[in-house]
Amino acid sequence: MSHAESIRSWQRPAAETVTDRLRQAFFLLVAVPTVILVAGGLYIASHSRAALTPEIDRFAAQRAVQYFSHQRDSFLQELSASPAYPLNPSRLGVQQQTLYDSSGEVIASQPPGLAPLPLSPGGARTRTLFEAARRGAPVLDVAAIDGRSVWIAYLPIDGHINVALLRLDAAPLENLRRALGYDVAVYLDTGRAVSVGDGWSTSISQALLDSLASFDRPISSFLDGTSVAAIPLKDFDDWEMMGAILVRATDSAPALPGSPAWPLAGLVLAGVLTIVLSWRSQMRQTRSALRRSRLGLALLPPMIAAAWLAATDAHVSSAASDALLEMGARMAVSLVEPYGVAPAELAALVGSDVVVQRADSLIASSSDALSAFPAAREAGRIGLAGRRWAYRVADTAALDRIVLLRPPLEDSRKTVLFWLAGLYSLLAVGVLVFGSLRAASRSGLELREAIGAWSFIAPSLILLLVFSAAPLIFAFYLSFHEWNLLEPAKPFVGLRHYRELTGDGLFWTAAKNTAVYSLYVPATMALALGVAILLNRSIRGVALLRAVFFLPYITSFVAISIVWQWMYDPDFGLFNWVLGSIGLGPFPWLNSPSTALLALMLMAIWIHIGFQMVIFLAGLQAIPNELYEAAIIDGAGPWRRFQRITLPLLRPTTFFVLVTSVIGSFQVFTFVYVMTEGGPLHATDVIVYHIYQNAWQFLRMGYASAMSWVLFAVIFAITLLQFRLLGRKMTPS
Amino acid sequence: MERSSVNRPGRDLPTQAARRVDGGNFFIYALAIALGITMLLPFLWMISTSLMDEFEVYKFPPRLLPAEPLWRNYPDALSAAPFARFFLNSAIISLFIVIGQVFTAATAGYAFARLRFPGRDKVFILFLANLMVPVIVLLIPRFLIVGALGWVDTYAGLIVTELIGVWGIFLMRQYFLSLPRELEDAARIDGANEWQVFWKVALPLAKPAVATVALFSFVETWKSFLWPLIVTRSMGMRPVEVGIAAFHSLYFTNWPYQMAAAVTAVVPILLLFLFTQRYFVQGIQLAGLKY
Repeated sequence: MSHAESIRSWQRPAAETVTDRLRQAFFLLVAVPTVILVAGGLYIASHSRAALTPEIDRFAAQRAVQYFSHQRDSFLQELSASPAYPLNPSRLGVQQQTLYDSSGEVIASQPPGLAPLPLSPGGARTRTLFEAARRGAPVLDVAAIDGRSVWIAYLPIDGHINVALLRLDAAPLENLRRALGYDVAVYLDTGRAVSVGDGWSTSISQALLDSLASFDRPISSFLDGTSVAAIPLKDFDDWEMMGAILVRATDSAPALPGSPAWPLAGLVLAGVLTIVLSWRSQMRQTRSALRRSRLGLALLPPMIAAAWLAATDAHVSSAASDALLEMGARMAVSLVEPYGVAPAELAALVGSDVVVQRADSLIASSSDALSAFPAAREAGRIGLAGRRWAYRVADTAALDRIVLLRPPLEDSRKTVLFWLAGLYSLLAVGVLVFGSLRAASRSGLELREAIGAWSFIAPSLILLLVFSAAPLIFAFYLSFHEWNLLEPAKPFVGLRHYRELTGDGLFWTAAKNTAVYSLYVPATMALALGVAILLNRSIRGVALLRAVFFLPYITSFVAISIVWQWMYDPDFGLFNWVLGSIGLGPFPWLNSPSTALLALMLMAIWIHIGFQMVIFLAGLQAIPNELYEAAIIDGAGPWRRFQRITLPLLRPTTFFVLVTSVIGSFQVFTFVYVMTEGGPLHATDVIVYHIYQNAWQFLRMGYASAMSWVLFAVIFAITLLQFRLLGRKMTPS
Repeated sequence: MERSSVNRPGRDLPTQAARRVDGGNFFIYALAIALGITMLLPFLWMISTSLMDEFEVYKFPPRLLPAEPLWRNYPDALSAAPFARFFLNSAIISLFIVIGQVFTAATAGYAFARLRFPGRDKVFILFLANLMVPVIVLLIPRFLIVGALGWVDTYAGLIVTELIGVWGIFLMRQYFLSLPRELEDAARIDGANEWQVFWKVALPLAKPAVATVALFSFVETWKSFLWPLIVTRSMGMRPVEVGIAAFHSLYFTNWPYQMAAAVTAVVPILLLFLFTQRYFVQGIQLAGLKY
């Protein structure tokens, strides 16, 4: 706007002054509640976080890492300072030690005369521990030898492994053994273990995961036997170990106060006020739809604030409850012999306050919830500072169940916030609709038609806003945050994820694989066009043939993946047999990094050929027959007709098939998930699978969102390109 | 945008029966049938393996047919995991999603095609823009939203995000555009309101499009994998696709069981397809070419 214009805009005719004032007043009325909302949201968010921070956050996690490395260092120091290096029997209570070479052969044993430790270096567990020790990580393990619990230390010495049996006398170690049991080896095996430092109750943290994730740094799970228990966390399929919760006794769990009620009340009040005022000012407005669209805009901030607030709050609570649910599930699992440790034992093991405590009064206080489970025997506080309640239900004699309850306040607050967000969304839609209706009545359109139209569109529009538009924005927001489901703290990290992406080799591998995979599209198109031409004639049974080609595309992709995986079997599969019978192969197909992606592409061709054929058929049938007849009269052969008529006239169809198929191929997931899980050696790791893994296996939802936005940008660019090249023309004919 | 300009291949089904096979067509038949059999091979192989003994499959050279069809594999495999529950889940989810998608597609499509109101084109573009967004971008936030609503591992969570299909809205709009509006106007003159016009006049005329949308949303729902995989946690909530994938990882050495499960998953869609092929082809072409 030029200077003169801006002056002019301030010097409006007097007739408009009243409405301008009204408008200003209205904006104030909207702006004030907005500020209140945002402030309230900030307050609740910061309050919730502040309450959680002392217990779980990244700094604490780092402190925990330091704590453990300190523990380890002092342990090593203790060892090395002793006169009889590497182990000082008098201080550590070593009963026996055996020196193995790295392959597990016994080199020497002390004291002389005793047989070497009855370990099985060939076993997976011992091998893992050996390997960890060989890489410089002193490992302490708990095992049972001759029916007794023992500590076993694996210590690296000059390329050999010294295995020392340590004296045990503390009673809880038996429990600890049962709690840890198989876990140490598994942790080391998967390379991801989590331990939690001094003064913590329960938690899991990404920083710790990260620090323990690689063998590059020495790792050690130094667990002192009196106050620690570990609970493994598996993924949703109970298949892979994701980490572990380590439970440590604390003197008193810090209380986590619920958010105070007044910001919530303020929120509701502000919401109601906004609605009422905007409605009233709406009634007084006399100007056109422009203002109403501004009203809609003005309502956006409070909507976003409310949604954001709701999300923050939901996350604080759902993260905590997720962690606890996992823990409850683990505890239920841990009841099963032979690894089992009962919750009561666990409680005794880690101290009386933290994990499970018998408290009959709770049954009375939450009798409603409990009455649904008449078999409830015990109830107790669990985990995060008594915000959750857990109780055991004896379903059968064999298996107990842990049920977690949430305090009612939390649920109701969440509900209120979501209704508030929903209310604002509805309000915004309502304002837009109202504006549209006013505009309709002004411009002489039929009002009842417009009313009817909005009533038709409203359900779709609301669903679209809530489950597509809002998530898109939310994903963008997520990509700037560290967002771990299990960690309540979701710090803002700016562009870090995007910077990290540029240096993430695995991401680029996935991108490259996706690009290579999408090359199946042109191959399929050539075949599909051929088949379409072949079947573009009225012969008997052509419909059946078309159906046969189309069949793979509509059937279950998971079933197809399983079948093809079986056909690709290098030893007993159909492909190698057929190829072998003509003297080719055998090929490793899915088992080798060099052929796995190709195998997926072959399957993709088979699946998509029918889909593309159908579209090509439509394109072919839109070509007027007269053109061919004229060409035949002119003496053009089949190839020439194809070249001069079919191909040029099919160009829009071809282009459409290409673009949509490439976009589709960028989003391949099911085949990879079922057949290869991205392997072998990331050879079939594609973008969407990579995003899935990061979000749901490594729980890095922020980072995964950044990746998904990159993918979105690429697809968006391709789509724009499509529109550019096709122009506004949408039909091929 | 004229619908009639597209020559629907589906109409060949009844009319082609009387054609004769002449000499020139022989080669084409041979080629087409050979290709067709190649396309069917994985399905045949799947059925054959599903009837083999667990150890019979580990023979080289592979047997093409089981020595003796082992029908027991089906009940055995299907009782090894809660397949009945998987199918029930899929059926429930599909039912609600089909109803929801047909409803939203028909209403919104009708409004965009027929009714005049300020802002229509902008809203329509908003819907169209949604087609550009890959589902994976929405996945994480949707999961968090559904989680915040407490709907993880519930039918509500499986259903609610899928209730609109922009593609269906588009298809319905195209279809309504192709219909004459005289009947609707007559109904308006008779005093019907917009919803009455829609229910009593417009919608009955759009039955073919409704069938197509219903069919496609059903197949899409039945086949959907990633979202159910994420949003379900317990075995009891999994739909067929996710259930079979889990079964696959549990019984990864027993190929006959897996094949039996795969056949079971394929059969419902297959049957549906056989009876409704025409709508599939029509739908793909409508959606594909008009977009």
